[in-house]
Formats: sequence, structure tokens, C-alpha cells
Amino acid sequence: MGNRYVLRAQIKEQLKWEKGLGRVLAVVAEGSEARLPVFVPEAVAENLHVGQRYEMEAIIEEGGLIYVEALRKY
Amino acid sequence: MWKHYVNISFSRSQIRKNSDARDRISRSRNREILDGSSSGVVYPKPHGFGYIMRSSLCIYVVGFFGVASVSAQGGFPMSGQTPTAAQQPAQANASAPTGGMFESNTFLEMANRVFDPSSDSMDFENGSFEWKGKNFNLSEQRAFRSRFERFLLASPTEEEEQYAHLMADILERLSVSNNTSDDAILDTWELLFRASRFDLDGGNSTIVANQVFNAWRIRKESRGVSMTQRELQQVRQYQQEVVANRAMSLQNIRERRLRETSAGQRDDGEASSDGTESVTSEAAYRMLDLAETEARIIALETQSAMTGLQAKLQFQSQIVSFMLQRRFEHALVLAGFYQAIFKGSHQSLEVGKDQLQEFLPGSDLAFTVDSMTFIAREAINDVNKGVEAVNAAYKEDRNLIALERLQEVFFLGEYLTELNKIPTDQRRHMLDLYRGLIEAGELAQAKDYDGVSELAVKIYKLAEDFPKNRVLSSVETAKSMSDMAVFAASQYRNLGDIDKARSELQTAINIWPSNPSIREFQQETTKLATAGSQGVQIFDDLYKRMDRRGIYERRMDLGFALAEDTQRRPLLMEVVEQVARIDLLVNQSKELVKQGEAYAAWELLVEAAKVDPSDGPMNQARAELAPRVADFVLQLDLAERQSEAGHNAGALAAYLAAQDIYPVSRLCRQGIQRETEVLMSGLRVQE
Repeated sequence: MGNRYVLRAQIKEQLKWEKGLGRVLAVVAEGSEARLPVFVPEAVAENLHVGQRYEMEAIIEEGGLIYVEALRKY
Repeated sequence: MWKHYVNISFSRSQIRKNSDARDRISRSRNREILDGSSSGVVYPKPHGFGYIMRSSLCIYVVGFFGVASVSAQGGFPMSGQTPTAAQQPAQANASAPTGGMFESNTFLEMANRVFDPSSDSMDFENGSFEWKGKNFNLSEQRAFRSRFERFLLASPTEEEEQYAHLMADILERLSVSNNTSDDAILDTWELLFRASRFDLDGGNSTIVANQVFNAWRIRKESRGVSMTQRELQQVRQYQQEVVANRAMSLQNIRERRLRETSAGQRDDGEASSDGTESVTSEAAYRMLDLAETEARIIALETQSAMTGLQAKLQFQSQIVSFMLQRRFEHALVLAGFYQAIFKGSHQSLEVGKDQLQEFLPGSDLAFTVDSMTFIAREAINDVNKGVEAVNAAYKEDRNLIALERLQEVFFLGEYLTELNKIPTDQRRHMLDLYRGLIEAGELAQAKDYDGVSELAVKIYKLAEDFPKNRVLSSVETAKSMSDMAVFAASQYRNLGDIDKARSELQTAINIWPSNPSIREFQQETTKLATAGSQGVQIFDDLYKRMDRRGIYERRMDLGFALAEDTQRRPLLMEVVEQVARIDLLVNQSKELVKQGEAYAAWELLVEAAKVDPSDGPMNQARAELAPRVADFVLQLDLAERQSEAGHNAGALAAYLAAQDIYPVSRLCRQGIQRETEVLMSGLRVQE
């Protein structure tokens, strides 16, 4: 908790989007086939598309939520 | 040439007419059913049973309240389904046979036609037998049957043959072409006493002989009267002469007195007056004698006329009587004697006009002895032809026709020896057939369908022209209708509609009283009623333990017991619906497993577990399937546990993992949606 992680992953699906809040995405990390849910606040990115690959800086919130604080394409 | 109007109206009158009327009604009803225009009770067509049964089978009765009627449609039971709604399919399908009396009546009509061995020309309702437009008084049916059976049991005898020869001889002797002298007639008359010794004659020849003798005696008396009349006429002539002489003497005296008066009128007035009175008184007495003689002559003339008329009337009356009794030979014999005794101008019948009008309805002919002779000869000829027709039909194995014609012939020629041309073995065969038909008719009236079918087969062996298949078909239809009514009664009973159940049961009994299904229904109902008395306690115990399966398995008994319990009945319905749903899901799951859709099957079991996680059959199915879907189950369980722990992100990850295993999973889709919502709402709060 509170640690910062870097996650390199490809966006597979947008599970939920709420304007002004952000999105819950299902991504597949490099070297894995399992999908993971991540939350990307709207302030971090507005235009995300399925299939794009990002390197995400994230923290693990309470309850195990992967909260993306910054990202960039790679 | 006999030109009498032949009018054999095949009446079996009222029965046939009534049957036709009922046919018309039946046809009309069938049309209404086909058009759907019947506003009253719906009477299904006979073949409608199959349709209704197919529909009824779709009900798939799993519960007391018809809840499973939906299950058969592949959907889920509606939790809010009311008993009324549940009744609809049962009513729609099961009430069709209501008022099945139509079928019962149709069968009886058929039975009346097929099993009635009476000839068409016999009308036992009106007690008349119609032959060529002539009505004979038919005795009561039982009496006729008795005489007919006696005939069928009897065998022709030599004595009867002798009698036939004797009667033929008498008729031949009376024929106008033969010697009709007084001596010949007397010889013929003596033969009547020989004929009367035969049993077959029934003493009727004696009656004929007496009539003839009576006529002869009256004729003899009439001759005696004629002699007296001649004597009286001679007396009258004498008296007339005396009276005439007295009148002449009186006239002479008066003339002499007148002459004497002119000479000495004053002295002899009183003396002349006395002489005149004396002559006048004697003449008056003679006049009285004459009048008396005249009266006696008139009285004798009247007596003579009356005596002759009486003899004639008695003769005529007996001829008519013989005709109405179908004693045609005796009518011919008596008519022969009548024609020999009375003059040709006395042939018109003066008596029995009312009876003859009834015998020959609608006829405005003048009835004569000759016309009676014609009818009698025609009847005898017709009996001859009828016997030939009966024998011909029998030879051609048309035994039913032979029996019908034989009855006509028998009734018309019951006292004629022509019937002896029917052989003994043929009579016995006809008797077997006759008794079989009567017995089958009685069984049909009692609605003993099994007995009717059995007899129909036997009758067919006796008469190949008997419509056996028609009978068997009608029996099967009637049985089916009764079964259907019992089925409807069961449905209504299970729905708690006792009145309708009773009505349907009554219909079933009316159609087929000995239907074994009725007994089964009654036994089942008794069992339910017994169980019903303990039903409340059982239900309360099971419900307290939430033993849904236990309640469901006793649903029939409990439903009967709680039919009027407004508090427990809805609870019972709810439980039955729940278990019915579990059963449906488990069954669908098994089907999916067979199709290789193990994950989909598991999802259905998960749905079932939500209804009652403790249900035995459902848990057994889960246990059997779990090894095949372990990876999927593992992720789902993890997701549920994470979700319960408030780790929504973890639950979401587990759902995603499970969805990767079974992408079309409904549980996963719903879980992902639900967990995502929770996550977003949490984040919103944080913001």
C-alpha cells in the first residue's frame, strides 16, 4: 500500500466510464494473459483506446484497486 | 288386378323421426363447434379428444396449482402467479368435455338404431303395424316379442300341413267357380267343424260355422213369419169385406128411413133413431178389428226385416273382426259363405265403419265384403312373398335384413301356415340373432360398453350385415369422452374447484357409469381427503424447518388440506413455485451438460442455489458437475469472497479471470458490472 508501481499493459476493454471521474479499464500486463482492472482518473488521460499500450505508474488503493496516476504510450 | 295404393311407410315412426331430429341437432352443434359460434356448452367432436389430450399433456402437472404449466414452456414460473391465472390452462384444456351428454346421447341413438331388431313398419310406441297403408293394432312389445320367440322356437308340424290343406280345400269349395248349390254349401259348412279341431285354428272355424248356421235359422224363421203374414192378410181381406157390407147396410137403412120419414115422421122418430145406432156400433167394432189386423201385419213385416238385417250385420261384423285380427283365411271363408247366403245387393258393409276407417286411414272408398276379400287375399300373397324374401336374404347371409323382414311377415301372417316354409334351423339362427340384438340394446341402455363390444362381435358372427365397426367406434368414442371428463374432474379437484370437479365426474358417470377411471379417481380423492386432515400440522412443521423439498413432495395432499386456508395456501404456492423452479433449472442444467456446455450448466445450478441453497437434488447436481468446471468455480468463488470482504477490485479481477475461462458467462458479466459500479461509487465519494 502506498507503493508506486510501473505497469506496462495493453488496454483490452473499457469496463466503465464516468465523466469527470475517470474509467475502469481491463488491461493485460506484458508477459501475462490475465486481465486486470485498473482505474484511470480523467485528469490523467482523456483519450484512451482499446488496443493501445501504455506504461502506467500506479498505486494500489485500499481494496486492491490499481489506481493509475500517470501513463504514457510505449 | 289389385290396384290398391301401396304405402309402406317405414316408420319405426317416432323412433326414426326423433332420431332424425336429434341428428339435425347434432349436425348443427358440430357446425357450431367448427365455426366457434356455439354460445353454450362446447361439445367436442369425437376426434377432438386427441387434440385435447395433446394440449392437456402440455400442462406438465408438477404442482397442485398448475405452476408447472409455465415450466413446460421453457420459461421460469411467475412468482406472482395467482391461482386463477394458474387455472386457465387447466380449464381451457380440461373442461372441453363438459356436458358430455351429447356423446352419450349419440351413442344411445346409434344403439337404438343398430340394436333395435324391430321392423321399420312396427311402431310399438303407437302400438300399430303398418302394412300397405293399413294399420293393424300391434300388441305391446313384450307380448309381441313373446309370440315371435315362440314362433322361432317352434318347428313346422304335419298337423299344420293338414290344416293348411283343409283350409285351402274349404276356400276352393266356396269359390264361385265351383258348385254353390245348397247341398255343396252344406258339405263345406260341415268341413268347418273338422278345421276347428286343429289347434292352429283357434276355434275360429266354429265361429264361422255358427254364423252360417245362425243365418240359416233366421232365414227359416223368416219363412214362418211370411206364412203368418199371409194368414193375417186373408183375415184383413175378410174384415175389410165385413166392414164394407156393414157400411152398405147402414146406407140402405138410412135411405129406407128417409122414405118412411116422409110418410109418418111425427109418430116414429125415436124408433128409427135406435135402429141406426145399433148398425153404426157394429161397424165401428169391425173397423177396430181391421185396424188391429193391419197393425199385426205391419209388426210382422218389421220383425221380418229386422231379423234379416240382424243376420247380415252379424255376418259383416265377424268378417271385419277377422280382418282386424289378421285371420285372413277365416275372413275369406266367412265372406264366401256370406256371398252364398245373401244377395249381391247386400255386399256393402253396414257395420264396423269406424274400425275400417282406422284400418284404412284416409280412404274414402265404400267398404264392401268384396273389398275385404281383396285385402285378405293380398295379405296372404304378401306373406308368401315375404317368406320367400326372408329365405333369400338368409341364403345370401343378409341375416339382419332377413330378421327385420321376418318380423313383418310374422306379424302379418302369424295365423297363416305359409310361415312354415321357414325351416327350423333358420328359425333358431334368427332367434339367436334376435336375442343378441335385444340384449345388446339393453346393455347399451345400461351403458355397459364392454358388454356391448363383446356382443357386437358375437352378433357379427350371426349376421355379417350387422354394422359391427360402427358400434365399436361409437363405444370407443363414448369411453374416451368419459375418460376425458374424469381427467377434467381430476384437474378441477387439484385446482380446488370442487363444484366443477363434481360436475365433470357426473358427466363421466353419465357417459360410462362403469368406467374404471372413475373408481381410480374416487380412491385418489379419498386418499387426498384422508391426508388433508393432517395436512396443516405437516405443512407447519416442514415450513418451520424450511424443508421446501418436503413440502413440494407432499404438494397434492397439502393442497387439498389447505384449499380453504387463506394464510397457508399462498405460502404453499410460493414453496411449490420455488421448488418447481429449482427442478426446472436442474433439469435444464443436465441437458446442457449432455450438450457439452458444462460452464453454462453450472451457471444454471448457481441460479438454482440462489432459490434454496439447501435443496438436495440441486446440490447433488452441483457436486457431480463441480470437478468438470473447477477452474471456473474457483474464480467465481474467489470473486464472491472478495466481494463479500469489500475487496471489489479483487472481486472484479476474479470475475475477469472467470470470464476469460467462459467468455459468455452471465454470472461474470453481471458480477463485473456490479463490482465496477461499486468501485466507481467509492471513487466518487473519495473525490
